[in-house]
Amino acid sequence: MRIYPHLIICEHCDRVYQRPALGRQQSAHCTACGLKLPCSCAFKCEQALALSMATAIVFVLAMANPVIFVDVMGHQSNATLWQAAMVFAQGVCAPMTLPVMLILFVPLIQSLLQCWVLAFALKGVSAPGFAPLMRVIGGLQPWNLIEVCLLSVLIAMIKLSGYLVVHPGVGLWALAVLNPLNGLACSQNICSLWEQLP
Amino acid sequence: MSQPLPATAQELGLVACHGCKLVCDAPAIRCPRCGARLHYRKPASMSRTLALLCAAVMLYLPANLLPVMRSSQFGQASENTIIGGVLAFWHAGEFGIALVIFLASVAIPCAKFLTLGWLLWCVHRGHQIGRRQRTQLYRAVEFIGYWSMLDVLVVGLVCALVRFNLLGSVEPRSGIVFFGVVVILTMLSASSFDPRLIWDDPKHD
Repeated sequence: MRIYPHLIICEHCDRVYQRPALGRQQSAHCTACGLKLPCSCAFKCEQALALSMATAIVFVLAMANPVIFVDVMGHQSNATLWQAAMVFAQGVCAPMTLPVMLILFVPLIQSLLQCWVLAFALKGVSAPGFAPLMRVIGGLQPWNLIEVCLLSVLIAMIKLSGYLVVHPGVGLWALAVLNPLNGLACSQNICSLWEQLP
Repeated sequence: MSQPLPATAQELGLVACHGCKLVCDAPAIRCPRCGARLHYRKPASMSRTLALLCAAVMLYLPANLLPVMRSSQFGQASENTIIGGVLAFWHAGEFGIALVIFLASVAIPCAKFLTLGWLLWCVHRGHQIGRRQRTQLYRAVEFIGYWSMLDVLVVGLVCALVRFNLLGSVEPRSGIVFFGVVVILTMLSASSFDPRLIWDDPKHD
């Protein structure tokens, strides 16, 4: 069996290209369908590791702290995203709990796996379970819903503000910080590790 | 588009690993670098996409007809459907929020049904015009898909906040389960569609 590391194939239209040499911030696009080609380009391992760790830490803050406080005639009530998912656990909505939980925790799983892989890559070796973990990181990408979480918290606040007094919680600020962090951590070209590691 | 397009991998007998993007000779069964299975096209892409799409369309009816939330206040109970929630915001004069919820819960799922159905139909008929545009349309479907999860999380948050109040209680109802399942099914349907089929000539099918 032969392999062709100098070639690259567009994932959406199957066209074959010579693998271009790209610097940082550069990308190559397919001439037929316009998709960004999965090229490896130079990336900084330390930077990607730092972003992944920051994402994991801020994620824990966003999950553990209440995102919204409400006041009802002197009585305070608050909710974390975790509690919002647990709401479904009782009654007819029980089947929804597990998928909602899983989707909420995708960013954490992703960033922890990235930390694991990158920590070993920093020393120039591939982590134990490198290949399956890299495939999991790539496969989880479509299920990373942090932007949706932020927007849904904002809409829930507006929805309730008609009836109750609503305040943002620490969790909401953490979620707002988590959004750009998570975006940056996911846009690091960690797939170039496939070429760089032995 | 005037310059000739490069050859396709299938014509050259090459296949790219979907896990690590390594290009290999086609007879290989597994990728020598990461061990993922290799195939020219996603296996049974058309039938999987169609099956998941049909299931999603069927469940979309109960998702809209059944209530998603039940709120009781001073002994009075009322149940809301998804459309009911949009209309309530509209009548309250909150047009922006009504529009966002309408887009996420009604317009995006319906647009996904129509687009995926149309893409499948075009591949089935072997249409050759507008391939680039159809591929871009597929990318748009993949990109907007998950925004529909919005309503599920909003219902969860509202119920978690108002649950234990003296004023009343709000609990989720079965409509939201159907709706969540519809969103997950359409996402799976979009990810099992292989856009390379758009570019295949009918004789290759």
